[in-house]
Amino acid sequence: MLISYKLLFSNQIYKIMKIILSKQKQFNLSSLGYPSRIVDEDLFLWFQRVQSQQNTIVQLAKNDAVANGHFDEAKKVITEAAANVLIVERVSIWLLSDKSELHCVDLYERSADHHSNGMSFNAEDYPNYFHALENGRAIDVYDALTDHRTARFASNYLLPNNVKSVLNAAIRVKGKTVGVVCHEHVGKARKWSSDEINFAGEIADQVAQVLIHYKRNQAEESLKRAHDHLEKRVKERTLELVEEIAERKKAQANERELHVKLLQAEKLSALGLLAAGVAHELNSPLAGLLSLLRTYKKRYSPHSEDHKIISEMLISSEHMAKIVKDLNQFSKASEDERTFVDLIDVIETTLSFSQYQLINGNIKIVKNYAVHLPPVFGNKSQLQQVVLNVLTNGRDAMANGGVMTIKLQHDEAHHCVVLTFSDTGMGIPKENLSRIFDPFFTTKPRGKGTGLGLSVSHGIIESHKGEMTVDSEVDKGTSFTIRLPTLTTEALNKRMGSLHEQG
Amino acid sequence: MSKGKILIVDDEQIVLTAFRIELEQAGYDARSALSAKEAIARLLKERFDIVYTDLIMPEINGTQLCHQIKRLFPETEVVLFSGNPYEVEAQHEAFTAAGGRDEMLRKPLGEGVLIKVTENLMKEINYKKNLARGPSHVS
Repeated sequence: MLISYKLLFSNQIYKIMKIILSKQKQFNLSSLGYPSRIVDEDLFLWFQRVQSQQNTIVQLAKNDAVANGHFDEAKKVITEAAANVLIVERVSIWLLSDKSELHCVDLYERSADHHSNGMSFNAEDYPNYFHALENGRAIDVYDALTDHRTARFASNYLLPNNVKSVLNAAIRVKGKTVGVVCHEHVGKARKWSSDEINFAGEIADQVAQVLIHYKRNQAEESLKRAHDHLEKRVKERTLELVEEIAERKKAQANERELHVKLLQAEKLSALGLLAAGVAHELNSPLAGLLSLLRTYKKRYSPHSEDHKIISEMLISSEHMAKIVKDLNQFSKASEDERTFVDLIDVIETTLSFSQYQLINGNIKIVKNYAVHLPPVFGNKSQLQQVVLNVLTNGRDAMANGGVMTIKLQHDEAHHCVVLTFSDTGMGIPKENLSRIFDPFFTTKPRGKGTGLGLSVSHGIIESHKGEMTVDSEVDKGTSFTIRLPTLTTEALNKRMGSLHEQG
Repeated sequence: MSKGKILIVDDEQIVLTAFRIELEQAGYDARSALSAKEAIARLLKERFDIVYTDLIMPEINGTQLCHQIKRLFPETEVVLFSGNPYEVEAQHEAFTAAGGRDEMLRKPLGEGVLIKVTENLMKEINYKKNLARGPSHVS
């Protein structure tokens, strides 16, 4: 007949068992794995014990720490439960290291209700014990001091701890013995019953489960760490790439800007060569024309129609001459003579001969000069021309009057003098701003501007290794910024020295 | 009696016409030549006080012409005028070495510049002439 093992756990079943036993005297319990000597009275205690063992196993399996593989917590829960169920003084869990060292990870002492750990043995020193452990589920020893499996522990472990009987179960993971759970009885020798031996095995299995979980958790954690690390690296690298791309874009933009500047420079130098040729070709006929017109103008009475016509011809010819003269500035830019130039002097001289025009145009001049400005090394007349061109531009931009602010500062950090001309004129539309330094670009009425003034100025400042930029807002005004390098003390001394030698 | 005899050399006809008229109006006796060769041919026929010459001309340039003139007629003053500022500066040294005048005229000339320069030069020339003639007057 079949009696399910599980059904044994209820008192109802116990009663049924008693009835069956009384009716069938020949019923042999040993066929179910239980000692046949168990008599009626013992049967109840035996049931209670097995029930409490099974309850404990179920509870352990449900325990959070055990179920989730929190080994540090679970090992204590397990040793305590085992000690209380089996009523043994000491329960300990030992794990085998790769170097066959048996290390105590937890020892629970029941009467003191105390956990400790740290003791270790070398497995190779106890061949009998480990042989038995490898070949059976549990080692149940009545007298540990004399048993051949455990006798070797007598002096260094059993006697000092007053251990008399031991019930040790192997912890197996994937068939490999990884440790042992030791139940140690203190005092008088104790005979271990088969259910107890069975229970010890189940406790060891629980530890094995925890270890499996624990190992998996660790693997998962390290996988997660690796994943997180990878993700972090990906994020970092992405950020780096974004920065790199931004940098590359910036570099490309700089390159483009440089390219544009280079093109501009090439355009200007090509124009310079062309200008020299054109100047020569045009200057002679212009010289003749101007001379003839001046001569013939005198031959007519000032109020005559012919005098008026010749005057107009003369004005046009003079304008042509001015264009050619401006063109010449390109070819002249390189053959200049340079000295120390005081920029305040340059501005003031230029203002003195253009003041009339500015005042006439109802333009107020505001000067803001920094003190102790270092001189720049350059060509005074060229720089005067730049100032004049910018002032003329400002005057034309402020047809209804306004304020021209001239600011002169020293940018020590960049070794340069910064000259700013700001007008309150009509401003330059954005689409024209980039073309402002282009040769022949002008918005002035035909015949008024040559479209070369600012372009020549730009060229002059560049030939001084300086920088000329423009900033403008429509209806607010325009400001031209000119940065000219100052000489460092070293360069200054060198320059002075060479001037002395020449001098 | 003219204030002085002047030859203008240029390969641009309008320059010759204009300068000749301008000088004639101011009372000078002005002639013109369209090339250096033509100029030398004229110089061999009559003497000039001043020769105004362009620099860049076909075949013989202004500096070479100056060299020839100074070799044949050392008293004649040769003045360079040019529309090419680059060339003028590059040739300046060679031109003065050939005996040309130090002052140079840049085309286009400002109003009245040609007459002013001519007047100054004539003063100098007349002074030199008087100086050369001086002793004979005394004696």
